[in-house]
Amino acid sequence: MLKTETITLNLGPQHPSTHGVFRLKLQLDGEAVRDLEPVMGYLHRGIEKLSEERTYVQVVPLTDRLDYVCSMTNNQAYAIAVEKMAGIEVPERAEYIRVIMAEFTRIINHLMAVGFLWNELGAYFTPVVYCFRERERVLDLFEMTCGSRMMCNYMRPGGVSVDLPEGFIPQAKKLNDHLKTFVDELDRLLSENEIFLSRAVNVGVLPADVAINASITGPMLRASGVLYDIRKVDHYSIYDRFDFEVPTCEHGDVWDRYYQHILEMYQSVRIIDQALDGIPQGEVMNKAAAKATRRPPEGEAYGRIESPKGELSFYVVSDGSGNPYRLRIRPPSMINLSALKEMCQGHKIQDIVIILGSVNLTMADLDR
Amino acid sequence: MEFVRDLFVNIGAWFSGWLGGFLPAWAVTLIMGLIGVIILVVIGLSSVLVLTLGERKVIGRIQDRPGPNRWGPFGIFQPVADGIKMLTKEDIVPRGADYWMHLLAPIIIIVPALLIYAVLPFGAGVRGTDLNIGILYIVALGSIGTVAILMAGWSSNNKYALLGAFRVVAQLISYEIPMVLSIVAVVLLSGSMSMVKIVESQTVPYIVAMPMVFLVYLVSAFAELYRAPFDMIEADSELVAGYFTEYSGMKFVMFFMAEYINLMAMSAIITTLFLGGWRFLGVERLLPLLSPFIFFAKCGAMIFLFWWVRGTFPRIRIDHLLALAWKFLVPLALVNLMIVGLVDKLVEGALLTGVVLLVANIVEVVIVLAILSLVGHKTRSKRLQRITARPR
Amino acid sequence: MFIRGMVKGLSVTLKHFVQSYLGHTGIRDGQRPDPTLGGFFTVQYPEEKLPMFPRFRGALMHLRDPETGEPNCTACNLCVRACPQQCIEVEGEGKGKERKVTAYRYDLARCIFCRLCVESCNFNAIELSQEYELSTYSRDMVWDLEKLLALGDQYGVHETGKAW
Repeated sequence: MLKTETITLNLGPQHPSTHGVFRLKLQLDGEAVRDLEPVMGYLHRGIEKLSEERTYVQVVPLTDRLDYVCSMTNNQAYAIAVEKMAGIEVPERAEYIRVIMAEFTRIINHLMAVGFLWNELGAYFTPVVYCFRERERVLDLFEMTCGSRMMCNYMRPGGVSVDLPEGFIPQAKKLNDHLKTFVDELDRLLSENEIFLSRAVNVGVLPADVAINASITGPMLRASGVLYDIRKVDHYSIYDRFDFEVPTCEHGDVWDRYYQHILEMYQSVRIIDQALDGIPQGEVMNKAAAKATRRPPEGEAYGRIESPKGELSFYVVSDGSGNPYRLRIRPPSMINLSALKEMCQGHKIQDIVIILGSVNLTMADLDR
Repeated sequence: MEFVRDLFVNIGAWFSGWLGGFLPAWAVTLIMGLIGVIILVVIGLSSVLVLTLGERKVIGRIQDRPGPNRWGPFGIFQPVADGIKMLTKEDIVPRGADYWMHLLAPIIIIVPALLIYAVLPFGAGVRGTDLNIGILYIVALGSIGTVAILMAGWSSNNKYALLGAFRVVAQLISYEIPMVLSIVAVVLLSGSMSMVKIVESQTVPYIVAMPMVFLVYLVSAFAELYRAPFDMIEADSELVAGYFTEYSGMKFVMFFMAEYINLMAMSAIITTLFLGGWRFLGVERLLPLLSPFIFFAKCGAMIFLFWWVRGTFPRIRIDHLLALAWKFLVPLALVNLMIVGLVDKLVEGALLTGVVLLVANIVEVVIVLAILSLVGHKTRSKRLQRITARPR
Repeated sequence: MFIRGMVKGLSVTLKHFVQSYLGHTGIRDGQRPDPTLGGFFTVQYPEEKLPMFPRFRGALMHLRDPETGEPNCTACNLCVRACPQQCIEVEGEGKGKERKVTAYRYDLARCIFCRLCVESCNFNAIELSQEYELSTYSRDMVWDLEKLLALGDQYGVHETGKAW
């Protein structure tokens, strides 16, 4: 028998395709991967510890920087947790605005996921540039509303910080119709490409039972065939008033995860349409919220939402003073990454890169 | 007016006549040869300048952005800026590397690429030389570049560079076979290996007469040039380093120049073999001055195709690449050769041969599609059903 | 057809190639581009600059009372306490209604432009300008009161939250 050895190769922290600083130690047998060990923590900034020194409102800009691609949904998760703990109600117009912003955030996150998956496949930035062009248009809407494109600091406990500006609703409606045609164009450009089919079908298969055991949530779980969407399970915010489906795919390979993102974008466009039509007038911030979050009563609360990457949740513990005693964040990217070894069994190096791309990580979310 | 009608050939004839006035015959031949060499090398090297800038601008436009436009109007001095940048880099030779092989590899890759320009017919009478084994000369030169890549990988003293070099060599030698078989089909139909006679025998361009042979040759050309979608050696998201990792400065530039010189040469070869060279509906007989422009216009269309594909498609994995070559393209090329041979023997007359060949190619396409759908990409077709069944 | 997917992809990129010569999603009438336009998308900075929205959060500036020309700030320290990054230091003198600011140090390097300070101010004294070209060659990024007032004069804003 031949005596063979495995090579240890380091997909180092600085690498164009690891979505940030992420290190992966691979044991290779020729081309096939035998074992892999991720090393994380290069982007750890101590957000949970920092938040113990800040007041409840000052934590909101910190949560922006958790998953910098979807800052609005991070704010929403924190706001829901604090509202549960302090018992604050949110006005109706604020809920509609939150739904609109959250679904736009879902669209921009999925655009980035699709774009960068194709970048790793080697399509030389063309899908990236198309997706980012549409992303710019949505970020223009965010800038119009809250003054900043990415670090929005918009959804506070008790509502949203300011009301929508005047030109927002017509512009949002125009953009929404345009996004529908754009996702059609993206589907036409990308989904049936034979090279992509040969590289992505049956690569990185994640069976449904492995996904459930590993606590994976979000588009990755639904692409493996499990129908679990926190918007439908928890009935948080006012998602019950909107008519939308939760799509699933069957096989759980890279192609399915990519197509899951495309299908979810269509559903988000539907929700935004309905929300823009039905938005009522009213105030956008509960007046009692400022006092209630200054010194909330002792207690704890667990608030979770369906963020674009999975289940993002905050566990807030208050000890009666003005700062949170403990803020624990459940990062969807980190938990989704835990099944990487099962997904990568027996594949080659080129496949590892696209499997990592299909998990849709943001390292800032993973390391907090 | 007569002079201008066939300008390039007449200038050459006038100049050699003027030299013959005061120099012996051998000196005239020598000087005309040297001037020809200089012109061809200039064409080859300046194609690098034009192609690097053009590629960045065209791919930029595909991506809704202008491409380089800071240096000079429309960015025409961008290659100059790139050249200055490359010249100012330090030339590093890794310790333990074989110094002479490390030095010779870039030279050996670029010289055969330039030598191909000697037999390309740029126009009616405008060419380096008309070898009667022109296409065989080109095939032979194309294989020397493979050796240079192995030399580069070996001499770097880096096992990942060596692995990268092995992959590239596997790709290059696998795709030479369908390429050569398609060339044999063309030679069979035109009756000669000389590039000029191939062009002259294309009363109907061979792309119309035998599109399947053209497609096989095109796919092999993409792989021979290691361009997208076969460019996994240049991939920066792959782990295994390319064979040119240990090169820097001017030597590194030589590898990339060789790629672009090969691109221009390959487009010129495709134009000659399949698109009808410098001919265009008889215009070149009225005004032979236009023939180089027609030739370069067709070359430009082919080069645009290469750039367009690069901006659109992802990469193919190495095992799929080799499977495509050996399991699909080689049998297909052999079948094409058989069809061309049969039709050429049984049918008389150029136009009728063309029509019959076209019909035969279409039948062949249908049969290939039927076989492919039977052989079973069942998983893929299920996904495609998923796409069409999506609620709109 | 077995290369149908690839041909569809090629058609989309060709459409973009042609459209980039024909259309331009540029800055028209000083407004941001219309979301439905296709074509050339690049803004040639620094010759063209995108117009900022009125609510854009840039660097801090101080506002003056339009009649008297005095800064509105009373050194109440509310902004100091509201800032998550502790980038403001304030000194003032006087008591009660006559209290005025004497020194105001704003550390631009620490600021995260979150606008919590402006939301906490009761005296109409500060606002975030639209200044985003903030790079310097040296590290003295602590701005004093004069620079902040000059920025406020440049933007001509007299009321906090007017754009909001």
